[in-house]
Amino acid sequence: MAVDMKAAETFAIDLENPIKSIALNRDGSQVVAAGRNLLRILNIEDNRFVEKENLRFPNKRSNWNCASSDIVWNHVDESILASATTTGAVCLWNLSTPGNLVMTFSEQKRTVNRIAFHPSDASSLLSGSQDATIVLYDLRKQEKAMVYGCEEAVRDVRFNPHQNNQFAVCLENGNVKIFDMRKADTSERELTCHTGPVFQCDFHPSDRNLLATCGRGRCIKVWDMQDSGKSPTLQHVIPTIAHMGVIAWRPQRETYIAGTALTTDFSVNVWDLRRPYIPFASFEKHVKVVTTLMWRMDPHILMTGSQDGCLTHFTFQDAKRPADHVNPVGLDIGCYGDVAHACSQRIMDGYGHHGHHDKRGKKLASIFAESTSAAEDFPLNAVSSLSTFPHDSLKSLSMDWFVHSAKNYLLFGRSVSEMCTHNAAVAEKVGRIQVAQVWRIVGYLHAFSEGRAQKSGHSSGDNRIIHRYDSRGGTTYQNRKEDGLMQPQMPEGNLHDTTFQRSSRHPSAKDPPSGMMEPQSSNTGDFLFNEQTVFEEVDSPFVVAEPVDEESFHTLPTEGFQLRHELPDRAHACLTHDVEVVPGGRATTNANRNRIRSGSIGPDSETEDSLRLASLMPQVSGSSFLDFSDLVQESIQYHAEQGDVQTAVSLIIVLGDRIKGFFDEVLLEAYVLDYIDLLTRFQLYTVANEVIKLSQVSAVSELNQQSTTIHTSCNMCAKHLHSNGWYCTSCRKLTNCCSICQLPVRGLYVWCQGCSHGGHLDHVLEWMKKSSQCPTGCGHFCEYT
Amino acid sequence: MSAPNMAFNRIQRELAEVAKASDAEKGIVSLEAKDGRLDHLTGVIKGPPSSPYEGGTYVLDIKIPPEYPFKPPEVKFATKVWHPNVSSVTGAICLDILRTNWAAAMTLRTVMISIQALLGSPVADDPQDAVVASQFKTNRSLFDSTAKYWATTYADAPSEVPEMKEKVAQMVAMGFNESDVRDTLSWSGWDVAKALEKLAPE
Repeated sequence: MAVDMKAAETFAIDLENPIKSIALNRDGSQVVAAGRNLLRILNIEDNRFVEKENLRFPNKRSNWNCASSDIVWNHVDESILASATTTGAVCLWNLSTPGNLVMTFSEQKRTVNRIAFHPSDASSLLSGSQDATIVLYDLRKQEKAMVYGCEEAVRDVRFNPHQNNQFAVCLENGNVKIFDMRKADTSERELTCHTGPVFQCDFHPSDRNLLATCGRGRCIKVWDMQDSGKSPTLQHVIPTIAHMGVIAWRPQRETYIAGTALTTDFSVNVWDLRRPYIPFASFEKHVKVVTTLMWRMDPHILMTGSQDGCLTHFTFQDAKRPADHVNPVGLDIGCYGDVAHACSQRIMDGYGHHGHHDKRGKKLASIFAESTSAAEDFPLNAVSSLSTFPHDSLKSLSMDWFVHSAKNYLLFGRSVSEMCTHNAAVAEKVGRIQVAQVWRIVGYLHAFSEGRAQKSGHSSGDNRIIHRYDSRGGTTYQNRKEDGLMQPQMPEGNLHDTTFQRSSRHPSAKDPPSGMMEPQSSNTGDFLFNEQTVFEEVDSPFVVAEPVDEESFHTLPTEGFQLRHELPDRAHACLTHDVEVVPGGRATTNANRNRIRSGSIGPDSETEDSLRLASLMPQVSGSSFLDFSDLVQESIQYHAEQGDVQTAVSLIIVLGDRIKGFFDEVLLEAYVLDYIDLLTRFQLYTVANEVIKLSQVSAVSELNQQSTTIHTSCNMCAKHLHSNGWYCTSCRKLTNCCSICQLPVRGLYVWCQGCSHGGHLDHVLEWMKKSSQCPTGCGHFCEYT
Repeated sequence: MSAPNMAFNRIQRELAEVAKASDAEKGIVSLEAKDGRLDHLTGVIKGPPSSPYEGGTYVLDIKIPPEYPFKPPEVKFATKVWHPNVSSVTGAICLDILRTNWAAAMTLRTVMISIQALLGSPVADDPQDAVVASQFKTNRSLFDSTAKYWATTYADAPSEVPEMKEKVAQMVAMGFNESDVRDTLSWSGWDVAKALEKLAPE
């Protein structure tokens, strides 16, 4: 080893410009740093960097290609360097010639993200650019030798140190391609590594099968490339806190890899693949994103360059060891509410023999490290105990209610009221009284709206509210008139409406809620009479609240009334009141009424619910229009925010179009997706699919249509049809033509399900007019239904 | 109207199909449009091997109805054929696929192949020409030689049927029209006396 271990320690130099890339010479005694307005060669001495040379572009060009994006040092010919620029040019430098810059290639149109010298052939230089091309330059001929096309911008190119002609390419679309240098047209292999751009890849220095990649997705992945016939398998994943930008295998230490994040985290971490969750070592010195890192030929020395302009020489003895400072304790809750708890024996011993894990309940198992497969990978011979607590021992964590509700909720196929009643019963059964109450209220509210839709429905208790509203507004007299049309005379119409208003109040006060839906006749005199008395008893606050009405009614003309009972007077009083009294005063009486009624809706429910209901009802009356949607919307939002997406989404689905438009599509999508996610976690796939089907969110409905590919085969040779569905390349024939005009069918193709012959819809129709047999002459009597 | 268009499109493709496939199948010699008209075509087929028609070249007259392919093409022999399912006078063909069993998926090529097959295996129970059919049933050897003679005479088949040629020559020498003589002799089962009776009733 060229580097003397003892002399090396952590030191840095501030180059005053953001560093984009660094490169070491072969023996690691010199380093070149590149960046915007920066291209300097430094000698690495014992405890410091000493500037050796500042490479300068000739003046005339200094403006356009001095922003270097990458730099490489030729390890065969020590005097040769190559740098890539953001303008797409690749510059070749020779330290032994005066002026240094010997050549500039401008083959690529956009930023060259990475260049690489062939590990053994000094004259081959590879350059991958943002313009989706990779160019191989032959430095002897001083021209490009090959151009490899990719469909996406190239982020990284890297030669395989174990296989002379192979190189890997990282693409912006998350794929890594392996090319053979000699084949420009196609890649040898392609693997999808990340969901976003792959920023870097690195071949393992000793194990020829391993390739590490980093990219968007907050992890470093290590792939086993061994069997070229099969697709590479994911061997290790190191989860990180941010998207990783740079990685490098640690030389001579096979399971270690260094990496640094693209954002958020400015430290350089070294992970051990066998213990991926916590870095083995961490170097924290930089104050901005670390853009490049390199091992200085030695597993103990790491060199980094950062956007803060510092070129740093880290030694391992100065690294932090995060793993040494954590308490090896883990706790997790499964989706069914099971709790698992793992704890290092070291800590357990510290607590003595209290057996604290027995405190919370039944201890299921205590497994030691050597008996679990996951623990075997750990290099530390740690002994830990694992305890699990099943969910039935902890009622509050159990998710049985969720599963039960998900399975039993009715989401379609019945009327809204029926579904609400059913779902309320389901919620009640699992002990969720509040949710049951919400279902019930929604059911009632919806029944009201339905009643409004069918105005002629005098039999429904909901009409009461409608009429009251209409009269109160004074502007919706039209509605009243329509109602009145059912009666021979206008005044009588009013009379009946209003009397009915009262008649239905009574059962709602006394009967269980379902009573409200029951049809009632309001036209019998006896009934009216009875109602009057009961009404006065039960709803006394209502009467008290309306002394004004008594006065105003006296002033009204009475010719139109049949004075057979005092009730009509009162009814009229209501009307006059509605029309004449100032809105402010009206609102208070309204609120009073509502409070009375709402208190009576759920006589058997808990006080809390009643109160909640009571507080909700005035809002209903406060809206100028009989629309409960914003109230329901509030309730749905409340549940969703409480983390109960089940109730929220079920409500949304049950209400369907009635609530549509009240939710932001994005929000709705988030709710539904969350619920689907939960359902999937509980393996309730049927319910999840039902939700996907019923949700009217386009982004969700697409879920069931995505990634479904139907492969078609030629009907003559059974070969798969790849490029198109209508021409078989092996039989050189058109497949599945219309059997009548014998042309490929574009558009509707009708098949007979019996003989599977068919063709253009209009042609088959015409044929079937003349013959009942199959147009192909197969003898089948086709039936198109 | 779309139907004739469809018919013409189909015919054009069928012509190409026959042109491409004729190498492989020796039976069909050609299919051509008459005077460039796509609704009137001429097909040429070979007599099937190991039959009286072997070596003969038969010309088919094909008319395409405007409703094609919903209606079958009208096909008849332009060359005279001695065959129970073909009229010896008009050349009309009795073949189910040209009538009730027509299917839209059939093409002129398949029709021509079917006719060729029909030549190879006559169906006497469903005759077009009653005389030929009864001869086929009662005197198969006479039928075979008559068919062979017709093939030689009209379809340029290489084989010779000397005794029939002789009989024809004998009657032609009496001053009768040669083709009339052939027909009459064939219909009368090569009985010269009967034929004479028919040609000259007085």
